[in-house]
Amino acid sequence: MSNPNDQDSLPLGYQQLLDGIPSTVLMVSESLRICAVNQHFLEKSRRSERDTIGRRIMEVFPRVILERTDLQANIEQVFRSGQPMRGEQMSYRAPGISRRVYFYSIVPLSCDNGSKRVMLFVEDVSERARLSEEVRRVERRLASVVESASDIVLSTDNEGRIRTWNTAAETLSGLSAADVFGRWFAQLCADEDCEEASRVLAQIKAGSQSQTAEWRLPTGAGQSLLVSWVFSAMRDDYGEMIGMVAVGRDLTERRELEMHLRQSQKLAALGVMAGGIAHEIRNPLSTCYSAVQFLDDPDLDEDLRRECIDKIKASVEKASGIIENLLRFARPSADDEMQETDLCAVLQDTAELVTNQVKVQQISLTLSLEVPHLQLRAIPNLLQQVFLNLLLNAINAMPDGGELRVDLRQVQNLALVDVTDTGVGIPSSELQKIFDPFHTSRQTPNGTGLGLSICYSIIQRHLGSISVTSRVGEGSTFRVQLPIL
Amino acid sequence: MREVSVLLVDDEPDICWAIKALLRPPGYRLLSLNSGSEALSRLQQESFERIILDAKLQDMNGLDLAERIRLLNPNAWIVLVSAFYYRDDQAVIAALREGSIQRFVAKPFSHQALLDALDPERSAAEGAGEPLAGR
Repeated sequence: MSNPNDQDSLPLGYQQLLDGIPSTVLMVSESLRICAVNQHFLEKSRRSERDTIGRRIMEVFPRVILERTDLQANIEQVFRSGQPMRGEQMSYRAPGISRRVYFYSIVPLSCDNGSKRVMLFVEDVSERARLSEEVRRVERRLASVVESASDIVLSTDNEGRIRTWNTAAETLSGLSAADVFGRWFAQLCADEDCEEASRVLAQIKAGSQSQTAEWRLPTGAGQSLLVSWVFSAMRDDYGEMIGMVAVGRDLTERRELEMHLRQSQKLAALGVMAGGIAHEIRNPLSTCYSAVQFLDDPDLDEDLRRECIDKIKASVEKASGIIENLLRFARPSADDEMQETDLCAVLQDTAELVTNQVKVQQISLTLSLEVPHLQLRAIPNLLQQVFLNLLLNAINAMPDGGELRVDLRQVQNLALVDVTDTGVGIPSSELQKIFDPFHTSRQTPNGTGLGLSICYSIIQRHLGSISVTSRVGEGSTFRVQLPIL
Repeated sequence: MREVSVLLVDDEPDICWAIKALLRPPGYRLLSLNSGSEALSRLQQESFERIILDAKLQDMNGLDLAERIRLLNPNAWIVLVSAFYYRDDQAVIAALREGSIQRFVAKPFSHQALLDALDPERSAAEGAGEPLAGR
């Protein structure tokens, strides 16, 4: 579609080519008159060829566009310089329609007859502009989610080198994003966790879904934070791993709360044992008192005098042994140190703590250990609290006496501890709930309802599990499974 | 001085030692046993003028044992000695009132308090059963 009077009508093939382009293409003469135009422009501008060709561009383009883009000046500039002008964007909003964004460029052409023309390309990039704005908006939103999180959120490349580090990470660790960028994640962890951190990242790289861990994060000046981490792989649209994401939560507060909870539960357990403790201490006291009364007799024979002294010594040792055990149990303990622990010794010590109580309730306690020692990684004080809770629950379930068994077996790489009583049993309707905090049975109205929920969380922390089977009127078995070294 | 026969049932060897040393011949003839079941079978064959029971035996509760002994020997003079109960415990008060035991002595006890408790001539109000009585 060209003006036959302008002597530069396009050969038919070229015109067809122009009409096939899904963008606006115009050819403008030096007098700023339109000498050729493609179909796309006519459609978009709703003009006919007749009232377009030969018109000056000022008559054809809307005034707003002309003003915004300085189109006329730009075209004149290209005529003057002979250099193309590329990559200008203009946006235009007509009343009642959504904003359009155009991308245009002006290219000089020289014709055979020496006259000059420029080609004006205008492309509607509204949709593209909208999409990229949307992408930027989503990016900004995601960034602000990550930045607003109170948890550490960081990402690494495939080798485990840190690429992003959010505000919470900066605040908690005291290290700025610039400090850590490019450093190995594992090297930021405390020395003792460094090796395990490398191993976990390697597992993620090898295709493991996600991994959790509790490691210390040094915060400078010899201080550190206990952080619960969740690691997962970051993948692109094609499923290729492009890095790792780690989310870390500061456990300090939760740990403190748990510690208080355990401590109060411990004291409650001591209350339950008070009767047995009193019994066990009053016996040696009584022996001492008798011995002293014998010693008070000036005519006492030498053999009995000797016996009295021995009895006093032995009784004092016995009573202080009982008190020492209790105090060791009652003392709040720093609880973060997992250490190599002999499960057998823990079970023996715990059984020792309840011997008084089983005695006053006519319960026979049998401790059956399949092996003399069984090493696992544990916090001994916490494990003892678990087994003490289970034993005291069993004792409470047998107000009229009975049998209490503790069986330790090793099955492959698991230690199985069964605590079995012949007590009242637990109704099946309650079995689901007994590990919930504050759930108590009617049989033990003085319980805090925390014992089993604390057992559950302690065992979970040891990567083990706890379960129960029970029959009303026959008794219950609590099974604790723990991974061994 | 007439010899008084005494059966002691306590599973604490040290308590048995002290009571044995206290209740010596010629005033007393003492037999000590460790469990309720031993005591019951012994009482089928032999009777004792005084019976001292610990309240918490491995195989049964001293108060239950007292009731069963009472069935075998309605005239037995039973003294409950305990490191578990105090004299104002409901279970002890009830047992004294019902007559399943005659006296209660809390551990640790003064020797005089135990001797008084074994003597039916002395009233229970004279201090027997008070811990550290006589001090």
